[in-house]
Amino acid sequence: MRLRYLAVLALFAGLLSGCGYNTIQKQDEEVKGQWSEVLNQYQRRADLVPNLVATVKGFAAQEERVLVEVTNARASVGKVNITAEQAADPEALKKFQAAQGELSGALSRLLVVTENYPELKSNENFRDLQVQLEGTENRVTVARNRYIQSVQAYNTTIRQFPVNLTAMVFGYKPKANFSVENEAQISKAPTVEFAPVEPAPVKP
Amino acid sequence: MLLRFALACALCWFGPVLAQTAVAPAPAGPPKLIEHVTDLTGTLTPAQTTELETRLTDLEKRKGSQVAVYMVDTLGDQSLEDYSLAIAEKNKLGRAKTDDGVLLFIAKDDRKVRIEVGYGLEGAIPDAKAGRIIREYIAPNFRKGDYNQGIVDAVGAISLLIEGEDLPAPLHEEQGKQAPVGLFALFIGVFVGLFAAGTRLKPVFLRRAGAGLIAAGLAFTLIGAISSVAMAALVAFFIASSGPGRFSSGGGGWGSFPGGGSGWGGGSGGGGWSGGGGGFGGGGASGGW
Repeated sequence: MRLRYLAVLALFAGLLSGCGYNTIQKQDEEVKGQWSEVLNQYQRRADLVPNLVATVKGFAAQEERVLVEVTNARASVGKVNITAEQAADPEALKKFQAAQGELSGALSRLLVVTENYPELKSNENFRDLQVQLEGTENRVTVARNRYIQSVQAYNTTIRQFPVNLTAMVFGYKPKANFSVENEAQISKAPTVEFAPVEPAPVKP
Repeated sequence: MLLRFALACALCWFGPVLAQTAVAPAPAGPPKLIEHVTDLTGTLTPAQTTELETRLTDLEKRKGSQVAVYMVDTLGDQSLEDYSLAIAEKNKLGRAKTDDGVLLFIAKDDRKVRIEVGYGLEGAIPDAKAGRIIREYIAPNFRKGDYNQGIVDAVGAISLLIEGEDLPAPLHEEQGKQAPVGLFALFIGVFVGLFAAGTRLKPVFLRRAGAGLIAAGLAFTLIGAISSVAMAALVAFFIASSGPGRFSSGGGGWGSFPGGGSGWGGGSGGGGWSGGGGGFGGGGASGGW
């Protein structure tokens, strides 16, 4: 009797793994892992901002508008931190993406402005910060790409025929991914506004 | 509900056969490196390449870290970061888990250079330092057209940073080539188990345990790795538990086994060199001259 019970249990376990239940678990974990990497790298970028702003201020205090913009964007990014579970929700992800995109935009405008200050540009500290910022942006890109791929793999798995039934029974839903339209909007080159900015001060 | 689920699961066993259409073959992708130094532009003389190769092989022997140099004419339509990361990822420079690989990537005609740093070395070579290496060692020399000096200086600086880092000791080659041990243990287990099952020794438990013990003993004398001994014993035990006839019908189940998949360090002698399984996350710095 006990043996039969065990056999049924074993069969059930076997069936489950045949259904891709284990695959779902594995890919779900993978997605979560990649999401923490995304958060980690965005956080790293946010951590760089105060230092960067302080350094730029030392040389280009008159660029207040851009500096304030970056500081504000940095502050709002801090408020929109979402967990891997929340990231699966399209709305939450969109919000997160919008906040980060705003910071990306503000930062690239800041870097465009700094082009006008030769002294700042040749400052070792600023150069290091700029390299760090570039490196971090690159890490963000890599982390995002990996997250996109892991979500794709997960979504493909739970939408394909045999596994979709398992996913349905256990309530696994497709996850939201970083969207392409938004991507284009975020990664589009910042428009350089010359009009409101005073001519670059010529320092002796 | 449960019935429907069971039905669905039964389908699952046949489903993959139906649903899995042929997976598209992987595209050509980034090249596989066979040496530390790959110069596709013909800029470096053979003597310079050998010199660099010796330095990097030496570094790998001493510290275990894999530093590679890759030089192309042009990026084509790829971005510097994508190209460089693709090569680093494909070749898995550095050791698995330690992730201590570095790729110095140079696109000569585009006048662009990147130092791609593996996860494990991001502390030793932070972006700012990688950026300085590019600005202070590479760019001035490259501007003068002295590519070799730029690369040698950069490699020297990178090596110094790696030397200062506390990394796990490098694997020796005998230890490194352990990949098939698990498979070997599996074979021992299967054979001993089959043999024991064939003997029909009477107390069943004696037969199973005996097979397990023999397999473990054999694995120990032949291999000496504890995990493999355990694997051989376990496999023998299970196979001895089933008759030979039953085993042959269910043989397909032994397709995968855990463990065994250790990365192997590069050995420049003989069979060529390859990456050891290191991971990259986009760390490093880019620059130009």
